[in-house]
Amino acid sequence: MLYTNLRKKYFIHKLVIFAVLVFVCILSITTGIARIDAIDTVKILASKIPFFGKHVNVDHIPSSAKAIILNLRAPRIVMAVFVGMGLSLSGAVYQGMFKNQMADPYVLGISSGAAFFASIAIVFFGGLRIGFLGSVYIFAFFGSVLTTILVYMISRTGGRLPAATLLLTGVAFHFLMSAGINFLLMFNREMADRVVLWNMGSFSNSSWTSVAITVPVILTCSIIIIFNAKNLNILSVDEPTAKSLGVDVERNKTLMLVVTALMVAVCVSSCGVVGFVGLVIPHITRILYRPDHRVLLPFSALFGALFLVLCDLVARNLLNWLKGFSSEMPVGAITSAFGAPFFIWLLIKKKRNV
Amino acid sequence: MSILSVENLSFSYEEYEVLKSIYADFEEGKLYVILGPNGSGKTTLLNCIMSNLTWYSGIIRLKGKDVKKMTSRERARLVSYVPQNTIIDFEFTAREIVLMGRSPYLRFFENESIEDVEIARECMAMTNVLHLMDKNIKEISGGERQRVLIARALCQDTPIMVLDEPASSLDIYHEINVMDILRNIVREKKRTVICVMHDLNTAARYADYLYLMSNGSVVARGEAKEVFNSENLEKVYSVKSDVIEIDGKKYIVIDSIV
Repeated sequence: MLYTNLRKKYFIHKLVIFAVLVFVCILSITTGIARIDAIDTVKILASKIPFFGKHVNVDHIPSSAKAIILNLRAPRIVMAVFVGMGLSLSGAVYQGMFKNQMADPYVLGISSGAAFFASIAIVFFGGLRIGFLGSVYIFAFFGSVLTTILVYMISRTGGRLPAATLLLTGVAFHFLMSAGINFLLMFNREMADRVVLWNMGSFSNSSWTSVAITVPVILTCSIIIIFNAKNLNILSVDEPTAKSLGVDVERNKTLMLVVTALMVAVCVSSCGVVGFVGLVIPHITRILYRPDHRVLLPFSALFGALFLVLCDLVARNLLNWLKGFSSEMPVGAITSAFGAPFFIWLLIKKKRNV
Repeated sequence: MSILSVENLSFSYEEYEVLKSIYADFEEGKLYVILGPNGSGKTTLLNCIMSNLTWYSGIIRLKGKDVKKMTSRERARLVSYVPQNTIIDFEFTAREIVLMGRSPYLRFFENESIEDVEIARECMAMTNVLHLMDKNIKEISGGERQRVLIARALCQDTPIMVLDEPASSLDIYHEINVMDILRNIVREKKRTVICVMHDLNTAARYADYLYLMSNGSVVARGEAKEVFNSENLEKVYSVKSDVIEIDGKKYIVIDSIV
């Protein structure tokens, strides 16, 4: 079926998935170790809606409950939505552009590169703020760009980008950068708590301040990527052909790599290295829908958001549900628990095809 | 008037001169074949024509205009390309691939229109792949894939079509099939088709005009009967051969290597 004919049907799908996402967000915000009544939660949220909110009576709800909902759970869920979107879109872009179905910011070492440089900013500069932006963001961006360039340059051989070389280089960089983070930890034990976050991935440090930086960046980058969908289609077929079809290949690739590096950097700066989202989500979307990026990208963004909100929900509550502990797990552990087996399954499938 | 001309084209990789002052002219409505042994520079010539390599000296003109002064979209409306490697990694349908040929005509936010779909259908009919329309491009045979890519180049609606070894990985039936389609495109649509090729007999059978290259220079040019003779083939390929004629057509029979 043609994209133009399917647009209406897909629009309805998008609405449905969006509704599910909203539902899951509300579900997630009402679930947690502090027991807050679901109806109260909805009331607290509703009271913040402009105009309408004045008519909602929240006087009987303790202010500690309001603080937990509005300042702890709400920002982390917003963060999970946008980071999920950002990571799965970056994965989709890498997979299309590198013509490699196993590429994603985590596997290619780009997330770890950003995290290593973010750790440097924390350890040596104490997360110093430079104007509006914290040095963590700037260092993370530098790290993700640098790793992208290095991984790309090293694996490129004679104008081609062999799949296996790209993955090996990426994984090597991932380990190198993780080792770097561990070194920093060894020598600065007092910083361990803050740095360990980058390695495991967690939304527990989310605040409205970090949301204010992350959301606009991810939103802008996502729009640029989705607007570029037609070019990504052509690039995912063959580069010389893309050139002959009028796509300015080098400029387009540079733009996409910078935009994804920026997105990965803000994701990592706000919640650390969350693996495999960018690998799993675009892949499943491609199976459910089409490899056409005009379809693939918006659906990947939605599914990515949905997936990460769910993973965060599990990460926050799993220990409580199973053992009654009141501590949470790193969200990266949950995504890896899904993602790593999926990666292995892909490898086996690929082996059969060859 | 020639639609594509190559004037004094030279190209070097560092010290090594790959192309040495090439002159070539391509006219409308003819099938051109560029022949030569491995390393003779024919693929480099193709890459210069396609602007995949740009740091050459000399001038390549499309319809009289220097290609270096054109935007990639302008070029995309004049020259289409079928690469040697036809493998595609993602599960697009054949029709989605063919429709990509319309992209030089689409504005930034524009999607393919009914007319574009109709053009794609005609092109697919011309290369006998209409029945594969909704098939997954990864699940069709090499010969079918080659014809889908030729349909895409056709769909791009350019006066010139460039193909890098269109038949090298095909069996004899599909080779003849593809070459017949190309000849048809030249005759019916008055397109200029330029192929880089290895097989001498296929070239002799289909080419309206041949360029025989060796060591970065054009050694012989012209119709098959002018280009193919034992001296030229010995000089270029280092083989002893007989060129025989049956029903006015040239056939090359290789004897031994020199």
